[in-house]
Amino acid sequence: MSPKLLTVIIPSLGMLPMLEQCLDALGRSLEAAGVREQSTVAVVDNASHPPLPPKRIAAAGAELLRLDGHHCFARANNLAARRWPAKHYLMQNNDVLVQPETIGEMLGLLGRMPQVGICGARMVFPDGSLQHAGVVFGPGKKGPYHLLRTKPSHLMPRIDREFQAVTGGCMLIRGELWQELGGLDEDYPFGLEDIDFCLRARQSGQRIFCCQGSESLHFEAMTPGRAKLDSPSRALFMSRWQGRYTIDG
Amino acid sequence: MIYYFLPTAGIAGGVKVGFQFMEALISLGAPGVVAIPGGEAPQWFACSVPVVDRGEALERITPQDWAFMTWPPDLAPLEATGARLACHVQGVTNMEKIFAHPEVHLLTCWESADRLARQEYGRQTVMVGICVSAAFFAQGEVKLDNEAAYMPRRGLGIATKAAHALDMLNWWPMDGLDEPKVCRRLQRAGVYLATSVGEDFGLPSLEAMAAGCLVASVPVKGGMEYLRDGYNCLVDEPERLIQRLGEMMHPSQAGRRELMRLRARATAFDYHPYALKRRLAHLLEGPLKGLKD
Repeated sequence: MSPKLLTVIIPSLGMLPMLEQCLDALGRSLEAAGVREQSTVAVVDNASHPPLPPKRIAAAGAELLRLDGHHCFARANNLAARRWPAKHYLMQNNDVLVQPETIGEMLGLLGRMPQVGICGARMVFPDGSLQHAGVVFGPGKKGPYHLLRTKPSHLMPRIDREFQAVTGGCMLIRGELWQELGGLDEDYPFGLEDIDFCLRARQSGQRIFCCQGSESLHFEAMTPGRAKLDSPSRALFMSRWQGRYTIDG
Repeated sequence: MIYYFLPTAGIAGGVKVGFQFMEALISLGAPGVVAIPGGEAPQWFACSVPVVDRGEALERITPQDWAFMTWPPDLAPLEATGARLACHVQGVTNMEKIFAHPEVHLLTCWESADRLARQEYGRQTVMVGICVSAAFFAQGEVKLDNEAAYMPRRGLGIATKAAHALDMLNWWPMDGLDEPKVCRRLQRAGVYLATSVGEDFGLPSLEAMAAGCLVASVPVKGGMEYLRDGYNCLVDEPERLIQRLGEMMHPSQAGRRELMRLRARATAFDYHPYALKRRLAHLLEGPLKGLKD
C-alpha cells in the first residue's frame, strides 16, 4: 500500500479536553484542504496517567499509539512517523488549534516550491499577540528565538518568508527529508529538537518557509513538567550549534 | 547543490561578500551552503546562510554539485572532488591558475577582475557584482561633519599623515568590529578615508557611501567603477588626497560636501541587496541556469 499524503503527529501527555479541541480543529482544516481521506492523524499517548481513552481518540478520527513508558518528544514523534509513513508529516502540539485554511496553505506552499522542505505556521496567543511567525538567531547566548513574539499580530507583516527555522508546534515536513535526516534527534529531552532538525535540513540544501496567511491559536507550553526539561535541551542545543548558525536576529 | 568554500569565518570583506552572494542565490532557489573549517559560522554580520564543516563538505560533494571557491589555494582540493567548479572572483591577486583553468567558471564581482579575465586570459565571465548590507544605508541618523573614520589595517601611515594634517577632524579607527558597530560608526561619520593603495577589494568605501559619508580614497583596483572622483567622492594619490580633503573640509565647502554625500548614497543604491538579487535572478534564467540543478 502506498503511503498516504499526510501523517499528523500529536504527542500528548494527558490533557484530553485540550486534545479533543485540537483534533476537532485539525479535522476541519483537513476537510477544508480536501485531504481528510488521504491523511492519518496519529495521537501519541506519551505515558499519560490515566491512559488516553482509545474510544474518544477514535471518535475524533485519530489513531492512537500508546507508550507505556514516557519518552522524549522526539522519540514520540519518530515512533509515530515510523508506524504511519507518509509523503508529508505534520508535527503538531496538542495545544494548537489550527485554522481551517492552515493545512491547505502549508501543503500548497510545499506544492508550489519544490526546494522548500519544511513549512511552519503563523500562530497567536489567545490575546491575539504573535506566538510564532518564524525563528531567528541572535548573537552569543541569545540563540534561537521567535521573531516578533508577543507583538500584536494584526500589525505585523503577513508575507510568507524564508527562515532558518520554524517551530515544531505546527511544522509540515516532506517525508523524504524526514527519512534523509532520520527524524528528530532523540538526545533532546524536550524542546529545540525542532530547531535542530531545521538547521540540519538547511545544511542539506532545503529551504524553510513560514506561512503567514492564517493564524492558528497556540496556548504554548501546556504540558506538565515542560519547564524543567527546557533547560537541559537548551544546553544541549547550544553546545552543538552555538557558533555554527549564522546570525539573523 | 552549491558548496561555497571559504577558509575562515573571521572578519574579512571577502567572507561577507561570499555569504551575501550565497544568501541571494539561495533566496532565488539555487540550493547551497557555505563550507568552512569546523562548520564555524560568521558571527560578525547578519545573514541566514547555512554553514557546514569543510571536511564533511569535501566528503559529500558529488560531480553533480557545484564547488565554489574564492580563495586561490582552494583550487587544487576542489578540483580533486570532481565537482563542477566555479570561482567567485573577488580580487585579481594570485588568480593566474584559476583564470587559466578552462573548467573553472568565472563569476566576477568587479569590472577590473572581469576585464583582466577577458582581456588577458580570453575567458568568458559572468559579472555577478556585489552588494552592500542593507544595514549600512543611512536612514537620517545624525551625522557629524567633522568626524572621520578609517580602517588602520592597511595604509595606517597615510591615515596618520591625514590625522596630523587635518586636525580639525576627529579620527576614528575601525578594526576588528562587527558589522553593526561599523554601521553605527559610518552612519555617524561625515568622512571616510580609504587608505589601502591598490586595494583588490573595495567594499568598505562602498559601505561608507551607503552610510552617507564623504569618501576620500587612494587609487584602488577593485571598485573603481563606483568611485567617481569629484562627483561622488575624492580619489587621488595619498599626498594630494590629504590636501584635497583639507580643502573640501573648509566651511565654505559645506554645500559641496553635502552634494557629494548625496551622490555617494545614490551610487550605493545600485549595490543594494535588492539590486544584486535582481541581477542574479536575471542571470539564473541565462548563464547561471545550471546553478539551480
